Amino acid sequence: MGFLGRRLTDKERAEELFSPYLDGQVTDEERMFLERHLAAQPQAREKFELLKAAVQLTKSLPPVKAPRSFVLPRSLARKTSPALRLYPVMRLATVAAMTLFAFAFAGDLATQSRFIASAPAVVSATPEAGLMAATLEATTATPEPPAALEAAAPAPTGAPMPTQAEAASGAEPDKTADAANTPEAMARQAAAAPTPAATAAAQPEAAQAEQKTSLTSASAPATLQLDPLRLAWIVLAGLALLLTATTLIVRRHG
Amino acid sequence: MNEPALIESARKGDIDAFNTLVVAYQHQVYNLAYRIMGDEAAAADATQEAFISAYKHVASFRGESFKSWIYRIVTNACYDELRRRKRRPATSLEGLVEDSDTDVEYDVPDDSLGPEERMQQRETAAVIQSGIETLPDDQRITLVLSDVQGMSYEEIALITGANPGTVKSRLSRARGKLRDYLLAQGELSPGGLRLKAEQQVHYAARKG
Repeated sequence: MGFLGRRLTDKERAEELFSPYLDGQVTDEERMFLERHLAAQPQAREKFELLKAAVQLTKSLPPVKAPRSFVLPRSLARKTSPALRLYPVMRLATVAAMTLFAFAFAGDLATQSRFIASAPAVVSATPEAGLMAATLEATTATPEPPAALEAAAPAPTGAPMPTQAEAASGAEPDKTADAANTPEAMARQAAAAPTPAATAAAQPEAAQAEQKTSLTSASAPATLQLDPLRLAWIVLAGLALLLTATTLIVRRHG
Repeated sequence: MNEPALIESARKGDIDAFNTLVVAYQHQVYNLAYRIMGDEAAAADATQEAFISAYKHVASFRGESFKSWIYRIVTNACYDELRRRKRRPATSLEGLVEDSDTDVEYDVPDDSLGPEERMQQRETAAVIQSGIETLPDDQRITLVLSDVQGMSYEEIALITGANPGTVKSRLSRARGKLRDYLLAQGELSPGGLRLKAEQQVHYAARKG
């Protein structure tokens, strides 16, 4: 049994060496073993010769000719390289669009909430006018808006009563907010505004107050002024989405 | 042909430079794909796919020989297709059985052979091709790279990603199976029929 097993091992070992022997990929020891084995075993020699013939046959296979040319079309070059070169630019544009959108959106949101809290504040541009707006807001919040309306109405005419002017000059500027608690005080200040800036600011406000007494109807001119900002962020949102999609496609297929 | 310069130009997107490489290697690449796949359409697909993929990824090409690189790409394309076929055997079996070397166009039309000899050579080539197609994928690819394309063990290891020891044993098993197949098909025989094989080799030598 041991003898048989040993012979089998030798045979297997020899057969494993046939192929590398043909390629000269055996050690000296392996080569000597195989040559000794082949000399002693005619059957092994036969098998080896057949393997050699099979390898020679395979090596003699004539090369086949390609049925067509595999030259790449020029369109492939245009499609790939410029798109890839465009990718960093597109990525930058996407980030820019997103940033602008964020600013526009935040800006719109901020002005909108300020508007809800105090509508006329959006209209005023100077600090003095802002102060006036705050007082006007206080006025509209009082139970009797018509009183403020009546008081404010004379302002555009530009002819304040002397007594009202005196009363106004007597009032401290930093106490205006407190003074504005009553419609009368407010009316005095609004009507008798001594500085030209205040007068200029008071005029549109007074006109506004004339037209609108309720908060909701007063928002109409303010909304008109906000529109470009809102339009901007809507357009930017679309642009950012479009750029994101295009950039991703370029990266995937470029 | 200045290969490194062509590759450098191709890397910058110069498709004409890349196409010079395509022209230089397309027959070898197609031949490799044909011997692995066993049919013209699949070989042409794998070849085209390999060149497109090589062009797209030419930036990742590092130093080694372009031949080894493109062989690796086409070998992988063939390997993927063979696996795909195994998952859906019904669609491809017929084509494989039907196909033979008898209708393939050879690179060098051999004028030194008479019509009868040429016919015999084609028949033998068809039997060898059928034998190659009976081998498992790994062994088949290794045998084609070695005995059809003449690559060394080290090159085959590089192309297939296997270690040289594995290449050696795969090749050994592949050759043994092919020998048994050819023997069974009567292309080889322990006695007088071996002459046929020797004759074939003789033709090949005359041709070369």
